[in-house]
Amino acid sequence: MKNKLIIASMALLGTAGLTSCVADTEPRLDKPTEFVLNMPALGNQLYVFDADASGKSINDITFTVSQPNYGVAATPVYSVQVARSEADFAKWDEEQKLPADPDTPDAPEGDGTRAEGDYTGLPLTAMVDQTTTNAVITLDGEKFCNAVNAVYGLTMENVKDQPHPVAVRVYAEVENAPYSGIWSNPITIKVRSYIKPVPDKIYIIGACQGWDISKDAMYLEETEIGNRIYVGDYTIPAGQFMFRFYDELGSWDHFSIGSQVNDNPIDITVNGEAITELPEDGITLPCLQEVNGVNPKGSWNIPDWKGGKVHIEVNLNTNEVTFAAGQAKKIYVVGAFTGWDINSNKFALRETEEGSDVYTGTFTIAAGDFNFRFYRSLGDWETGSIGSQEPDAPLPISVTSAGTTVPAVNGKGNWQDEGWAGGDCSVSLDLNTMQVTFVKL
Amino acid sequence: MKQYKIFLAALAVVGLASCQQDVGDLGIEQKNPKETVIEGGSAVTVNIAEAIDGKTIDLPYYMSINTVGFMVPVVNVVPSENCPADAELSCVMEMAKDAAYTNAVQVALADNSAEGQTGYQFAASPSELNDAFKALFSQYVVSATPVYVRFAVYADIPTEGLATGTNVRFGGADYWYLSDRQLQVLPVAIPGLMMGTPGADGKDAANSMKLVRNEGNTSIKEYNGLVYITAPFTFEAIGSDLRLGMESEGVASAASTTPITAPSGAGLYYINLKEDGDNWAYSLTRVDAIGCIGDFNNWAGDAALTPNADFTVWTGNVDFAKEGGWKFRMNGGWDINLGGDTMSNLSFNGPNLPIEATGTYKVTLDISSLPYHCTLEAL
Repeated sequence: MKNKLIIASMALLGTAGLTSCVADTEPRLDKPTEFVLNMPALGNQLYVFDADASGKSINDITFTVSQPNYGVAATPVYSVQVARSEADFAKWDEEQKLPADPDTPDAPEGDGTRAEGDYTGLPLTAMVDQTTTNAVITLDGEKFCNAVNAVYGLTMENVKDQPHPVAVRVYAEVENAPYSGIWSNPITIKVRSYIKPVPDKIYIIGACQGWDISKDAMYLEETEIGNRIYVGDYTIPAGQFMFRFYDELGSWDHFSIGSQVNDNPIDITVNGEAITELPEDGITLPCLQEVNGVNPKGSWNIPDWKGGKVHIEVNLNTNEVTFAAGQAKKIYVVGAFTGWDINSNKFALRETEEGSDVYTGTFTIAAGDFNFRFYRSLGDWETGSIGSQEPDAPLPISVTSAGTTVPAVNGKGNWQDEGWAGGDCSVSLDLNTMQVTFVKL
Repeated sequence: MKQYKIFLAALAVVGLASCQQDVGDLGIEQKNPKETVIEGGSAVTVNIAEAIDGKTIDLPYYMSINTVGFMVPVVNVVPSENCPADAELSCVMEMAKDAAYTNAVQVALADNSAEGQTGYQFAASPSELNDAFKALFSQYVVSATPVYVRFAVYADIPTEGLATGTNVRFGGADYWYLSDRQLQVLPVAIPGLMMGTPGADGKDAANSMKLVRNEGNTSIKEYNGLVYITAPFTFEAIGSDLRLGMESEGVASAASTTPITAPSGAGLYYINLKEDGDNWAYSLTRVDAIGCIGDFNNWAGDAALTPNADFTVWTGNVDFAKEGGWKFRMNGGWDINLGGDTMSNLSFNGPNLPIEATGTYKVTLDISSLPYHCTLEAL
């Protein structure tokens, strides 16, 4: 009997031990009641967010927390919310829907825009678009400031380097365990925010846009922030090539950039001769900015402009403006007669009219060299090819002076005319119908 | 039976032991204790650099030796134990005319620390300091002048593993170190801009009433100005070595040191001085009356102003019954008149001043310093 009791006790103990092990391998998180966001050591100072010369944010900000009291070690995801004041957090909390089950509260809104401020029309809160599982939370300056700018409505126009109080709190939640979600205490710091600059613009004001000093439809944009080199491409209708530039809109007498001080146009010529179109390599002329309070109001003019695309570049460092013929969209020809050079732009079809998606060109092709396909872009044999068929194999055709029209597909098959005796060939590629026409000239 | 017991005992041990093992697998909780918050501006101490403390910052001197990039030492900044060890500091100086720091201007200081120095020394470029002084006062101030200064200190703290860093202004948004300190600054005069009249009112050239270059006359150098003359005087260019004495009546030259005497006794004079070959021609016109004229009186007659004792400030109540333009004119004629785009910058033959609201105003014209300026006080 004694042995039986011992055996029974041992069996019970073993079973209990193993049973408890099953529970231990899936530890249950306690519903947290405490989650502390520390006031940073620098929290009483002013956080300054600046940009480098190219406008890129160069600063960050770090907060530290301790893991919520889950009872066991866990890896929650931390996300940061900002507001104009700690009171706004409370308002935002009130505006959230009551959870159906108190034990499984809703996760916070991702963008913080659901609740609107009652007097500014701005969101009460905003989430920083960055999360981490590290309890040392280092936030990218741009992302943090985007949230600050959202709650304050800060823009390049109104930021004015003013410091703003920013309330901060952190939300922690273990993945797939909604009941583990908890907000930290809020803290308030002061921030001088960063706003990502946008490239500057200068506006084209002239006949081509109806001489409207308030119309911003035609503009040149800085190629890089702050470099004061502006470019733009526009189609200027026949007879409307007369314009100057303005750094700001709204006043004829301020911020103009012109060909001369006098309010008279200067005709663009080549070697003293009037022109009707622009050369592809462009014409570079001086331009004037405001001098001693005098705004140059002379325009540039091509009286008999026949119409077409124009590429314009204004360099306000050297005070030069370049007008060049605009480049039509191209489809490149790559084949035997081009030397099978995937990087050569010497042989191309040009779009007949902007937006038509019909491309034409004429090429001199030697006997035995009629073997080619097209590319939308150069540099990569595998990207953007237009050919006779998908497989990389030639499709025989016979080109006549009456014209030969065949289908085109996105593929690497060439068109090959083994009987081509040499001479000029006109090519017309219609990407609307995916057909190509070859005409022996 | 005995083997059975041993097996069960082992089962119990394995079961319990495996439980202890599982606890160890749970890892370590991430804990970050509360940080010690740096209070106010306690991270650094700031002191005026010895080179300028209690002395005049002689910008002409600093500019003369600035060909090798010489800087004006301004402040020493020493980090305290509260300052993050890896912080790189920078400093900005704010300058103003008054203790309220109205219309203050800022000058970014450069790190001028010597090898092995404790903390930092920050210094100003003499030309930037001179530009800031001119922005505060004017290009016409050439004597040593007190300015209020205060300093903001910034810390750039690198973030490990990132190209970015945390940047803070110590003390917070509105915290200034050494607020209300005053420095004495001697600015650099623009050569050829002004001509002093040393002796005219018992003052030296820098402190005398001056003539100003007429920029409208590009062919020859010409200066005009209103000077209160009580004694014989000479002309002395501000910012250059040119000195002119009377060669003969109406002619001045660098070869003469003879003082010029006012032709009609002590009083306020309009002086015109212009280059004439190797000599200079000058004329003095006594100004006995200054008045206001404009649309308010249909440009007919003057509303007279009354001078103070040394004729440098003229005041009077004027009824601007009509909106429009107006000017100051002297001796009831148009030969000598003052106008301007703004009331803070009047010039001879300047454009009409605007009057935007009708009413009676106390007009005050101040010609004691350049640029001449006036105020209107509604009555």
